[in-house]
Amino acid sequence: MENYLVMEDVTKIYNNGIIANDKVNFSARKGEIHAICGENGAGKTTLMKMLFGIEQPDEGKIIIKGKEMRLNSPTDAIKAGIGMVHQHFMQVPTLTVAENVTLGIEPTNGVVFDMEKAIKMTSECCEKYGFEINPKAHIQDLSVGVKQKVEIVKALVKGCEILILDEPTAVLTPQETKELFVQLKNLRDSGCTIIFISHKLNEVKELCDRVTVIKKGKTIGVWNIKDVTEADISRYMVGVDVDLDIPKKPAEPKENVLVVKDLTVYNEAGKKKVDGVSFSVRKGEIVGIAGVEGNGQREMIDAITGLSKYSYGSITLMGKEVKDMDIRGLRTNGLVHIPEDRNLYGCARSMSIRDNMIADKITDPKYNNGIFINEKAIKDDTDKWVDEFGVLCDDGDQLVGMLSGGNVQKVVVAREFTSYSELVVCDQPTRGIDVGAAEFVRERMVHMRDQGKAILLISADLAEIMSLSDSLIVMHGGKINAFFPDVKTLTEEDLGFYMLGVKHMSEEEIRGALHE
Amino acid sequence: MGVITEIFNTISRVVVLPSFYYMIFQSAAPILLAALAVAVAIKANAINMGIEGIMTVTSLVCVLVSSAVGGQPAGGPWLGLVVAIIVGGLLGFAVSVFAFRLKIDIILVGIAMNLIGTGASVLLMYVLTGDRTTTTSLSSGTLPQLAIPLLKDIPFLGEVLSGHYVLTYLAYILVFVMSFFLFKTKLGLRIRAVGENEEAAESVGISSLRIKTIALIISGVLGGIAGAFMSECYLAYFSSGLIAGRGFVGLAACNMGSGNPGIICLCCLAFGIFYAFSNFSTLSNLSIYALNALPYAVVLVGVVIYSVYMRKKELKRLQGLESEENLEHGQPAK
Amino acid sequence: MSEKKQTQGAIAKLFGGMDVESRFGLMRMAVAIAIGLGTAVILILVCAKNPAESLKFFFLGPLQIFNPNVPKGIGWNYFDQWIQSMIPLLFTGTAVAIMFSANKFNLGLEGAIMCGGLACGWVCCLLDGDIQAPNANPFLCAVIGLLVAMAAGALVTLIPALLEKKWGASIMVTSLMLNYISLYISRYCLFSTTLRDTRTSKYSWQWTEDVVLTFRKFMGTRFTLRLGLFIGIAVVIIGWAFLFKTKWGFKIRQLGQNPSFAKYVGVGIVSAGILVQVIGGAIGGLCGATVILGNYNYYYGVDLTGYGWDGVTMAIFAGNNPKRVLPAALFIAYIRAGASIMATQPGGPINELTKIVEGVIVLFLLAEKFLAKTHRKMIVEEAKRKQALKAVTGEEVAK
Repeated sequence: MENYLVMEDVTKIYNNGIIANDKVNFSARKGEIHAICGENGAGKTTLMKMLFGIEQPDEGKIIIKGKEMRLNSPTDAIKAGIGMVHQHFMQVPTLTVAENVTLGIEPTNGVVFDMEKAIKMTSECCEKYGFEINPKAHIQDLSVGVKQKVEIVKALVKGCEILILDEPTAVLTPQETKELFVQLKNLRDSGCTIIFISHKLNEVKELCDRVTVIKKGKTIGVWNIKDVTEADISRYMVGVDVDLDIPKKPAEPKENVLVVKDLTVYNEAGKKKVDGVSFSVRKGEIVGIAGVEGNGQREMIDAITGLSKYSYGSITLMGKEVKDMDIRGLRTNGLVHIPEDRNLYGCARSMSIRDNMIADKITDPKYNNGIFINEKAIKDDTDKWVDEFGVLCDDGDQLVGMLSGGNVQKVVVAREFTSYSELVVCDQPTRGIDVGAAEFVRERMVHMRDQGKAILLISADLAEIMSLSDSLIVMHGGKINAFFPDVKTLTEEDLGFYMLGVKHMSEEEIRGALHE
Repeated sequence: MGVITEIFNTISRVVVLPSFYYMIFQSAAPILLAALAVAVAIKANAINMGIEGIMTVTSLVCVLVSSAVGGQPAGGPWLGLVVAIIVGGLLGFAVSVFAFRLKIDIILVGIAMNLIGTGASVLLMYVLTGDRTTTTSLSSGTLPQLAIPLLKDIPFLGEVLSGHYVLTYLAYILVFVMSFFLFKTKLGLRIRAVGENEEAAESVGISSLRIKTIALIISGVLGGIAGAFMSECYLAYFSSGLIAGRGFVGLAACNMGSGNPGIICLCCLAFGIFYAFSNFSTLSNLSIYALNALPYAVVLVGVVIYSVYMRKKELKRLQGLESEENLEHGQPAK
Repeated sequence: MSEKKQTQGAIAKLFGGMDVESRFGLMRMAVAIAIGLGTAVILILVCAKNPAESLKFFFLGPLQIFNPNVPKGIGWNYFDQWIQSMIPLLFTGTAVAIMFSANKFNLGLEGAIMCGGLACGWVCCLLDGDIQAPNANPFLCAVIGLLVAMAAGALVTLIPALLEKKWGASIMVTSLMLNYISLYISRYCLFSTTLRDTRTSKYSWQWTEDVVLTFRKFMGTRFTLRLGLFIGIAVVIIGWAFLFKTKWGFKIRQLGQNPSFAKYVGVGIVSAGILVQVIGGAIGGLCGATVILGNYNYYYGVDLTGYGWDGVTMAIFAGNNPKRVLPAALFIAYIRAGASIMATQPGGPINELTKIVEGVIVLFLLAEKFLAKTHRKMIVEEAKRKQALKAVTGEEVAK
């Protein structure tokens, strides 16, 4: 059925004055998987929030099955047959799967919650669509993949006919992604309309029937997926071809800055997450770390950057053992760090750009006289950095929380790259920011390398890691599975094999990472 | 050395008295009611710190209503209780309005509530009775004490368990009622869901605002009962320092029991033991002031012990999760 | 005419220099205070036997020194009450503002004040007491008293801080309990130890007139200038400079805004968190000591003072900025003094009235949704103004 769901000239202006959606048009047919693509901040999530009744459009119409609807709350949306799987799971950890699934439509016996019936409803729905979930399990005990299935069942059990998935594969392993796609295709074949929001164009190409591209809050167009290539979609999304060929000279590595030897890290619950890892990073090179998420990279980086402690082995920075150093000590010895989660670690949103940029340097004699801070020096320098790093803002006194993601990241980068540094740890430095800002950040990284800094790059973006790194380490199961001294010789396919543990390098080859 | 001997002597003198045990149950009751009030709200992730103020206002309201209709002979205390429940519910609703509709930090709403509650009750008392400290000039009476048939005839046990005020029994019955309500009913499930993950509840069409408001109204109602206990059971009048931090102790007891009525009840009884003990200070040469501090110290220690226990439990859960993950995915490949 | 324009221009400039948030904050403050005072007026009209008289005393009581009809001495008496009730507010407001800036909800200030007063009283009794005590230098005695009080106060807030650090026990709950423990410790010391003066009806031994004179200068019969006022103002200024002008204050604010961020940029978050609470407690202890030395020549601490809660009210009035503690203290102390003057008049309502007024103002000051429409309008206007400005400068660049 054509125009099963229509969103017509939908406009949304947020309280802070940002126009998230500007006369966006979107329509979906019954029984299709329809992708919505767009850069971060293009307005995809806002559009879906309006469809699910979390936000209300300022202008425009939402028409479902030919009937115009006013969706004032998720309840309205659920009644209209819409279900949504959010990026962050909407689950109550201490409750059981059955309780979570039936929440909102609880079966009751008088005023008493009917657990038996809830379990029956859940397992019936699971059987119908082929999900394997134990309804009595508690959510907090489940893996991410299963949690996501619970999320989908939650929508299905309420009789949803339009299912919105907001970047569902971001948290999944390749295995789980594959499984998810099979189930989504089954759902489509049983008549469900699926709206699939994603950055990953190969997934869009593989899974979807049609694609709508949104750019800067406006609809660019709708295409049948077989009529467009990934490169086309990407071009529609950003206007210019994504070109990751970063101009960079061959690396000239010098002496070791960071040496990690036999590093073993146990997590809070006593599980071994990093298992005897050894490598080094030298002045003037970018060492990339690739790997499927959850293979020990997180714990290793936390240990190197001092966010957590490690149990065995040694990490030396500029020849000094860091085990007993706090973060202050690490920073004094030349560590700077672009954290993965910029809103949690990277900035204080309710403080000014100035305060954020100076945050790690406040103890520097240049900015304080032992007791009082030197406001003039801070103002002069931060103004300079705002210019240098192209932070789009009114002035340095603006709160960081008012900036867009890309500009927040520029503030983070400006702070880190202007501090005394020998080792630069970049953890997902371009995740979730616009192409322009990402390009800028990458250029600055190369610039830092050419200045003789040692750079450790962790990124889930394979294109980024392959084009930026001089040498590359692949982690799998808490160990180094492969080391490529020269990334140029490496193909993406091969990298995938090592990341998934299909292929393994010999001890000999891996030891090369230590540069001894 | 002498102090320790004296402590043991006092204990040995006190534990044989049935009135000591009677006192435990009696003194734990208002704290239990306050703690249950806080618990309902806390399960919906709303810290009702205004409980102290709600108890203050409702305990005065009881007395005023009761004396207005003619005191004990006219059944005034019962009407007072009913009005206290209504006023408590309204005040709970007021907390929710300020916290969720006007978006004020709920702890600060509670603090403001206590401020206004104390001010308003003393002002009201002064305007209506001309007295600034107590309402002893009014004859408001107390709620009846119940002699339980059969039980009251059992020696010792009868003295301990029978003859309590009606609200004392209600407090302990409410432990079961609230357990059932929170863990077995639909509304209880929704309250817990909202408390733990508000977004999740919203996403399936549950209005968290509504659920939290309901939770706070129930909290206010229980606070009203607690207030009524203070001025119609504990004493037969209202005075300006009547509540004396019992709401806060309830808050602490609730914190220790992490909102679970059964554990809360045990915590309150523990407080009751030490409170009752300090009330028997006449049987001892120990300083009454040191004994008075004891219940609060016990709560403090209890909160710490509970925190340690919860940390260990959480760690254990994490370990369990990890080992399951290992089973699921198999050992990492070499 | 031109003068008027000039003034208007100056005002516009003054406000134009402020960003939208500060302007809105100021406006909201004014409206909240108006509502609070409106509440007071209504309550007085309802409760007072002679409303006109009561209102006059409530609003003008503390200013009776300027009233030629009131005898000079009595006028000073009123004024004295205002200044006197301001002193503890300066301390507690600064203490809570600093603790809240680091997002530490330590409510143990009340206990810190109790213990501070107790410790100071005890020191003075030991050094300069009237029972078999050596007569130390009174100035030295007062100074040592204040220092010991700070240490005692710091200890009271340190305990919940450490309990949270070590075992994760809720600061709010443990600090509330410590307040009551402090109260009973104070009573215990007063009634069951050698601190008690068994000769007179006073509570503890008395300390000598010299110590009293160090702390109080009697200006005539009705007005007493207390050293506490100047200590309080100093605490406000030092507190502000500490929080906004020093590197430690910067770190503390970082911690309050985002603890993960603070950890990541290398702030020792555990020690910074404990530090603010110790500072808060020390100021509390100082407050307790100042109140004791400023008002009595013996220790008297059998009830909770309520100053700890005042601190929360003050911090909210001041928006966690010690700079604004002074005007906030002037205001709250004024209405309190006004109310208690009113209460002394026959038929006047009682001073608990101010608690209602304060509570109402607190609620309206904090309510995010209150005046939200006006706020939004101001933001939109500001955005438009900026856009217009940008367009103009853009054109200039294009030219």
